Amino acid sequence: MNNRPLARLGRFTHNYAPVSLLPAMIFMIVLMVLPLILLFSYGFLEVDGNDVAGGFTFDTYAALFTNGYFWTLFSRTFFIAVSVTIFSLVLGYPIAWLFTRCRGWKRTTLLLIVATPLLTSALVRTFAWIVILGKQGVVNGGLLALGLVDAPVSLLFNSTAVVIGITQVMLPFMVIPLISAIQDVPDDTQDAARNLGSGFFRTFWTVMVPQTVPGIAAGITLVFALSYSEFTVAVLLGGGSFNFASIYIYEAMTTLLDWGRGAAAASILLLSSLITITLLNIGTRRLTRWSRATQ
Amino acid sequence: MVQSDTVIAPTINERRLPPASDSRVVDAAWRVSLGLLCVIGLLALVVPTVIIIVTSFDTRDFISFPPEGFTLDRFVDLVEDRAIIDAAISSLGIGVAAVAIDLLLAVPAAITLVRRDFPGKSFILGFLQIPIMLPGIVIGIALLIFFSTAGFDLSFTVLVLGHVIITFPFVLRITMARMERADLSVEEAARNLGASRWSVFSDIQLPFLLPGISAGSAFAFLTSFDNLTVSLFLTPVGEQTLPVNMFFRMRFDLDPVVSAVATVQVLITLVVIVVGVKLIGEDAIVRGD
Repeated sequence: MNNRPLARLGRFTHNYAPVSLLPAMIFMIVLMVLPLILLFSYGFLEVDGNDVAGGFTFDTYAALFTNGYFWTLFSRTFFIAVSVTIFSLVLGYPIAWLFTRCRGWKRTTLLLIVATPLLTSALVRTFAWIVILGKQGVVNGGLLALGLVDAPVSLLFNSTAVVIGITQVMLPFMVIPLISAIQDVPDDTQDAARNLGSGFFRTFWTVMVPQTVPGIAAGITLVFALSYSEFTVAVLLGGGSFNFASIYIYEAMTTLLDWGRGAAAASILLLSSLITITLLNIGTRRLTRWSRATQ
Repeated sequence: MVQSDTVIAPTINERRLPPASDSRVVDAAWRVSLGLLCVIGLLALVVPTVIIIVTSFDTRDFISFPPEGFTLDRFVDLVEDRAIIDAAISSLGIGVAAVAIDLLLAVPAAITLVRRDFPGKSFILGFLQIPIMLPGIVIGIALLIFFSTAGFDLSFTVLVLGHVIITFPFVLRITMARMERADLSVEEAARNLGASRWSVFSDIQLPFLLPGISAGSAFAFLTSFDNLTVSLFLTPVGEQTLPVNMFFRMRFDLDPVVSAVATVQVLITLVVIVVGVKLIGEDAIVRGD
């Protein structure tokens, strides 16, 4: 087969390696970098509805930052994301630990349990919580049957429902980095601790946990970032007027058609998320160094 | 066992720890609490899926649990619901188109990023993976503003481009992970025996990459098929993707047919995972590559 033009193309891309990266790079610059720049600039432009009406202005941001509701909104979003992260870690660590101690079919089953939700849509999983927590739901059925309540109570549309829903969606994102971290802990160190008289509890806290700090950090960062900007679960379990950053942004963009405010709030969401992640990374690097030093 | 009056002088670290005789009660209690947390976590992961599947066969015309009978009516409703079928076909088309573009962009990039060394490589690698860290809602709004400013109407094409942004990094990462395990010496041998770069690509690299490409494509397709936040902003008037359609059915009044759609989606996902584990092995999933 004669592939001369192709061969020439191959030689060319070999000599100038980044040429084969060009399509991907151009695509990302045009459809990711430019839109993001535009998003940031919309917050600084006079925007009327969804059209740019004038030049540079600080008014949109000024209006947001002087509004007390805006601060409540973001602190609540932050608080919910932190709660989800803590619950995911508390439930996720034992699951990851169990996984590393299982072999054969048990291991495969556990993997299936953890990975299936990862690939099932958040919509589908939220749907289940509406069935469980709704007025005709499982919990209400139980409460009615036990005579604890006279009429069905709505367990949806509050922060508890939102935290439960998001935690369930985020749990696999916590478990998977933890599994690889726990797997990397050499069994010898635990055996050594046990042989030296350390019990299960102490081995867990002084040998296992310090050695898995990088995995914990990876899980925490991922889960925090994802739940801080979560939308699907929050709006379905919290309702359209629930105080959550992404819902506020969605309403500003679609119902209120105030793109200037929507873009400004979205920029703040992204930047505050990046700042928190950076601080988390710095913190965990310190913590890792400290846990190495004390060992 | 180490005695408390050990001959070896205790080091600083040993002194910091509590006495060596650990309480069995504490250990047992800790074992039980870890086990309990495992059970709660695993139940939280499994029970919702089970509930979805069970409710989809219920006979009542509203959603509730436990069910009162068995019928396939909701699945019949699903098949007869033109809006859902149309939305599913749109989602399927968008997913396939997005994966096709993903592959065209990601496979050459993955081979180059693994095989070649050049200045700025780690920067490019990080840059191409940024979309993973961006919230879907931010990508959706940014693209909406971008296309509206550029004067494009929202269309099928716009949706596909949006989905490429969110799925491309997965295809790139999974393909790169496979490429890293490829044997360079086979490629060198082929080159020394006179094979062109193109035949090295088509006869050696591509066949070896195939499991990674399939797994990456499957993952990207599912991500696209499930995506709500980007589609919500980019869906043209009068058209819907499956998640957008389901979202509006769930948001205001819980339509029972949603349970049938959800069951079908869960089953598709299970099949994809079982096939995926067979293709790339479970360790690859655990390592996240």
